[in-house]
Amino acid sequence: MPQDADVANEPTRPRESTPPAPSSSDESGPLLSVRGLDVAYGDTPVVRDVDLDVARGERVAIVGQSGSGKSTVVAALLRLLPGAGRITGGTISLDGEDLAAADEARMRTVRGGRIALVPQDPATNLNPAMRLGDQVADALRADGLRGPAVRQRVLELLAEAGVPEPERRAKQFPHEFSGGMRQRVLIAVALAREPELLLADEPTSALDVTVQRRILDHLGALAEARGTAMILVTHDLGLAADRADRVLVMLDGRIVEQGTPEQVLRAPQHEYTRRLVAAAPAAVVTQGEAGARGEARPPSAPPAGSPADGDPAGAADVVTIRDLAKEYRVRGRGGLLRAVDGVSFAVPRGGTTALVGESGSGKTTVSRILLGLETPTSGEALVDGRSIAGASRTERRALRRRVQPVFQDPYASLDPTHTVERVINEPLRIFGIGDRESRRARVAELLDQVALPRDVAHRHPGALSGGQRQRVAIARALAPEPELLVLDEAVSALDVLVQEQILDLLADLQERLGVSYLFISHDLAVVRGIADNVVVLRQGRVEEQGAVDDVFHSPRADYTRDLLGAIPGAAFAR
Amino acid sequence: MRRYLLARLGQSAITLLLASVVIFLGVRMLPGDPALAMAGEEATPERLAMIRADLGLDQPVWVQYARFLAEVASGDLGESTRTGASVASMIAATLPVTLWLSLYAIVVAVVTGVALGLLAERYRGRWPEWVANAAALTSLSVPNFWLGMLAILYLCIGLGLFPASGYVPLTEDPVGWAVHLTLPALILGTGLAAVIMRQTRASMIDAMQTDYVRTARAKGLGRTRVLLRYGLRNSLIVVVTIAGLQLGGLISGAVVTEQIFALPGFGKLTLDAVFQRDYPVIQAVVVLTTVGYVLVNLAVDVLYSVIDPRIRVGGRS
Repeated sequence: MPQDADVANEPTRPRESTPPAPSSSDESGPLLSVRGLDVAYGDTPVVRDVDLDVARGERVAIVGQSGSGKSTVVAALLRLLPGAGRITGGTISLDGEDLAAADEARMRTVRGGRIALVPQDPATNLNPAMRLGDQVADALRADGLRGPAVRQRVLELLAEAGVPEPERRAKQFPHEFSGGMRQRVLIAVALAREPELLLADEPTSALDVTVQRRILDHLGALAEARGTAMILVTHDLGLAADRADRVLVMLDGRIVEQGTPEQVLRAPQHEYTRRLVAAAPAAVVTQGEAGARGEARPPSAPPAGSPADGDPAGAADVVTIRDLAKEYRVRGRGGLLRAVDGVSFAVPRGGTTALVGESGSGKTTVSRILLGLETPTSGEALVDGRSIAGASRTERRALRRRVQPVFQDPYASLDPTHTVERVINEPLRIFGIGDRESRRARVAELLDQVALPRDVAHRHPGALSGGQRQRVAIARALAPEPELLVLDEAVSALDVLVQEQILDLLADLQERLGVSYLFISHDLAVVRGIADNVVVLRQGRVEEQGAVDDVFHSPRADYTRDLLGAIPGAAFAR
Repeated sequence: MRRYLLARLGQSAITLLLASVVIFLGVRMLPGDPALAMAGEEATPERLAMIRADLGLDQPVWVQYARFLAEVASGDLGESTRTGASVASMIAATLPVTLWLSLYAIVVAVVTGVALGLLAERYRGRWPEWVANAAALTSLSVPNFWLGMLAILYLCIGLGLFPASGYVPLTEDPVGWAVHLTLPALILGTGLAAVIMRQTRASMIDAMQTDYVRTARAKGLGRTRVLLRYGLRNSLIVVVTIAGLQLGGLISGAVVTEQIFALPGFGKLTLDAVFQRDYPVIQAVVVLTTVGYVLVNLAVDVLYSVIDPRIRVGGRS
């Protein structure tokens, strides 16, 4: 690895572990030094020849798409590889001690004590049947701490991690916490024993952007105050660049590039990195957010659709939402939750309106009403001037045909036992369009439209990649020739490069077919690339709406500014 | 929590009412005429009519049902058509034997089943797992009565470790009670233990692959500790469910086991009553079994909420 290692290879030190070293110590070598690491699952190599150095107090980011092996590196460092995973070569040297060869008893003193983990998904990383205080306490008990000191320290740790009222909340269970709060608990767990190295594996990718920013700021500050080094694993190049001293890019199990954020972003050497930088949609946003005079966007993405946007509620609109409200009864508390509260907006014919907001903002409820899956409490959701809620059975059927959904998770939204042909054919059969022969021809035509080879028709979704599946989902949605696609986080689960391809496809389809989109997303950066208009939702209300350029360049609502500011990738703008 | 309990209690009451209808009609549909059985083949029509009137069999069905409900509710289970003794006293004499036997068997089954399941997961791919699996498969495939006879032959008659038959009430002689019940309970519990072992192992394997288990191990906790503190509790839901569902099997198993070890229990009472078409006794036995079943399911639901805190909030309908 020629382009590797800004720190010279360090001769091994004596095996005896040194006491936890303070941050800026006299230690000359790197804290962690990985050489030639190979990891395989069964016979399949997933990490190949990885070299990695982390100095004391340094923040290193590993960037890669799903399947690149970045999380496997983290698991290997802790020697907690799942199932058939094992280290097949190389050394993991922590202060000179090779962890790749250490026994289990030794590793137990390392885990939590010297290297701690901040895991990805706060929803699944806490034991649902154990009080949160106990889960933090376990980290201390693993260190041999006993008695009332444990409780005292648990409360301190929770408070430091930003959990309010730690006394009360320590007694609660994970389901009583929000995602952000759970992540704070996991941070408290990781910091419990003052480790020298934190492994943060996509620590906030399951959270809303504003929460993400607060948590990362907090984690960064805590780590810095302690002089703790950090390896931040992420799929988001912008986030990596914002938060790390050094960025490593992984592809197919290898590190293909590394350097300072500046070097990686400004002068990417590897082809893959260049594509990542070009695809990163954040660049445009941050310029807008910075109030800069909108430097021209890299010409990669074509302008979206024909901007036939006129005045709202005009005849030019496919969808008109007027004073829409939806209430849910909250169990046990006898209260009502207004999930959607007086929302009005329109989707121009042949254009794209983006619905943006964080979890709980009501954006999915609006889409479900539009799809006829929920009835509104009051107000109207009109498609071509007609309401689905008030329609007769046959009318409703006709309206449903005009509005088709594409959902977020391409793994969950296609029946794994059906062939692709059957999946795409299904709406045609349901709406009684054509006969057997013409439907088969139509499926082939739809596959052409979404740029999938025709022989995919006989395969099952399981044999396709995430991006291919989402193309199938789009083909299915287009099958009955709808006027509107409701794209509910339709690209959120995809890797950046795949995401870009799908967005290009959507723009292309809109141009050719004149179909309109309601594009629902939490990701403002993506919205910028595809939408004509944007509606910012917060707690069921419209916070701001307008043409994309206006909202991004001169946001009026504080909340919109918050959202824009929270998007990682400020480093791009520098 | 209280809401959850009240809802569960209400559901249990409805279940019992429905069950009572089924029991009542079911017993009426058994072939054979109880009046004829009581009076004998030679009885005159007048005598039969008298017995029917006595038993209320000449009333419309719904009246009979209302009477049946009222009697059961007041604890009056009638008299045996065979011996004339009160059914309640017959049950009082036999029920404790079966309750103790079942309870003992459940404890044996849960303790050995969970322990073997844990062991199998802790030493996956090594000999303890093979042994546990083989033991489970064997005890699932060998019928209770065969196992019981083998045990009597070798352990009781051959080695003289246990008495081969009989029962001593707990209040009279606790040691004798334990000595007499141990072997039947072991025999009765093996099948259930095997099921529980396999379930525990399977759900432990799932639990040990969860993210929170990895996070717990990343804290520096040892594998055994994580197994017990993080894996076990989340696997117990499945174990409790299985144990509850298997109770029916346990009751029919008790009938056989009591027969083999000549225990004067509920199972024996049931068997005799069925053979003799003793309606009041059959009815009472079935009613009690149903009540027991419903109560066990209620207990299982309550246990769920103890094990999994998420179930306490509001409760699913």
